Amino acid sequence: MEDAVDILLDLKHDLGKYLLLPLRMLPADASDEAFREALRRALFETRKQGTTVRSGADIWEEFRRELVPFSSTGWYLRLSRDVAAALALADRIPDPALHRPEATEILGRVAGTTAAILAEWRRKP
Amino acid sequence: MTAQKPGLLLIDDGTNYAGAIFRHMPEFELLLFNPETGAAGATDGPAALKVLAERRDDVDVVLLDMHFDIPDERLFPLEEGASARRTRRFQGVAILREIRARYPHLPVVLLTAHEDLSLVDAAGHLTSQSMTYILDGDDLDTLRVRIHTAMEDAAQQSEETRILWGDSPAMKHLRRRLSVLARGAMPVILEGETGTGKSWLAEKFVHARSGRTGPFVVLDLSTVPPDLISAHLFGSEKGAYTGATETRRGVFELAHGGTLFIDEIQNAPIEVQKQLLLVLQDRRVRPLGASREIVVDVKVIAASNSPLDEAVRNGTFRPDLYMRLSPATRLRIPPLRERIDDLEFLARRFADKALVGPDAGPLKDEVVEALGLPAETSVRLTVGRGARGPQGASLEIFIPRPAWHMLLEHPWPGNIRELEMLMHNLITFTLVDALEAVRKNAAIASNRLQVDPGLIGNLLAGASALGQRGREDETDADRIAVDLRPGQTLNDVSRDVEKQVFLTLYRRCNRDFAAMAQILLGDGDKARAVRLRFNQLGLRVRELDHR
Repeated sequence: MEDAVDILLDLKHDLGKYLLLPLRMLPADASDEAFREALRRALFETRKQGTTVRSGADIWEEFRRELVPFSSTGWYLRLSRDVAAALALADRIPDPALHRPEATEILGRVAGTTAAILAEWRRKP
Repeated sequence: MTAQKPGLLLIDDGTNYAGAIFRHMPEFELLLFNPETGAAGATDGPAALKVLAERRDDVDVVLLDMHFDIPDERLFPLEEGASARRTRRFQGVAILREIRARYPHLPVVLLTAHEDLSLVDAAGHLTSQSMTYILDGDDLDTLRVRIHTAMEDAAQQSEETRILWGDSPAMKHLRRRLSVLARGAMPVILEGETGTGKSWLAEKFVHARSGRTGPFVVLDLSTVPPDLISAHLFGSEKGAYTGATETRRGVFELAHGGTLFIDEIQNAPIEVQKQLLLVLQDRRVRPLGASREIVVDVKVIAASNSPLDEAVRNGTFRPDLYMRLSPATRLRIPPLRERIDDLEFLARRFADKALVGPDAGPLKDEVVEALGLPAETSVRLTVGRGARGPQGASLEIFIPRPAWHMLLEHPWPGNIRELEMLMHNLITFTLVDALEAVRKNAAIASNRLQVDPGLIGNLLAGASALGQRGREDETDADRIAVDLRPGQTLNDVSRDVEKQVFLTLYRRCNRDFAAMAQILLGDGDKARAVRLRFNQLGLRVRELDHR
């Protein structure tokens, strides 16, 4: 379980935080175009370091491999469902029906669920 | 304030924050940001320290990420036994620790949440430090508010800095040169008249920016008997000289790793100057009577209230020591009369300082109440023309133009220290006069207290009298003898002298404050002001009368 805590803490940072950052850093009155560009960056340029760019899908794939031993647990299923929903937004970037609050809520679930799982573990004796 | 944008140094291994700040916060200058690569100012701890060492003056706020996915060799250690994963996850804490050791007053915003930081043992200690802020929320508004809060707090803390620097070209030049000389181990010579702020500059500017983690140690040679200067500088063993009853560590040893400020260095006896030269050359000291030598790493700041090159020409200062101290690093702090354009700025700052101080602060509240003004009324100094247009609930302490000219023409022999004291007294006495006027039901404007030009004349005359040896019309009865006793600071000494003067006058005037006011201010009606100062000096009528 110590391993899982470590992995989830990193996941909360590398995926949870950075999936949401471009939208959270957008001014409140940003244009629709700016919103969609931010969403694109969130999903496809999730983590940029120097010349290395990793998408949300790349990062999740790395974590998924580390989390194989836990793949049948309830918390993993909750988490993977939320990540899948977030990554699925990639197909909806041009969709005029998709607005900022909905996208923010869906992307925010990854960090929220990770934090909730960690909190549950901390409460357990 | 300059028109320059505030400088942000972002320390982050990723480019996500940098891009967002560059795009959406154009009001800040993101230092060393590369728009092509999107790279932040520094991507690890060593790079951050390098940038700060080279460009500290450009950095108004540091934004520091917490998690750094970087190779092991670029990581600062976090804590003993911490895994590489944990060290990466909390690398921001390790970097902050290094920054704090060098720049204790630099505002730093940690780009993390309290919740995450609680997992680090040292978090409580780090976040309880002043000038450290937690972002706690990744949205633009929160970040903007945190940055502004950090800068406002820093500005508040550097109020003293602003008071001293002012805005004159001479001081700006001095600041630029000192910023450079602060780094490295080269000695610095500060020359300036008394009251220009040499010791303040040495500690708060040079030492603070030197990057040295050792202490700041002061030795004022004017307060040490000449035959004890060696022992104070280099230390002494028990029995090394008559009266050396115990082993004493010298200031060079005490300042190891830090800065040694030698004030009034021109007072060093010639034989001590030779020893000083050897210490500066060899970086070793031998305490008096000791057989051992101690290696010392000390940045020396030598101050003098007269030009050292003149002392060299007069034969009272060794030319080799002067050359070793390096005349190239010799900086002159201009006296106030040479930066008189700063007078209004400085006077306002000192007035603001006095108005929140323990003497004038409560008086100001009393005056505001007595005038029936709202408690939140701001009180400020205005000069010449007075306020320009409505300023909300405010009360002016107004210096009319002729009185202001008296201040402009005064030679200010005591420099900034003299101005600070004068403004303190001017504000205090003006408030006292206003209270007396209100109590006597005298007509008084509800939004303006005009400073009595006579008061300024008296305050300036008092200062000038201190600079004179004696007047021709002076009689023995006018003279007051005081015992000059060494104190911890020059302020302590001045206060002690003033206290003795007040005490003597109190007795000479048979405990009559009006008579004292007549002598001190040329106006017997100003008894209350004299009584107030009497109390400020810690003199208590009841105790004195009882004696």
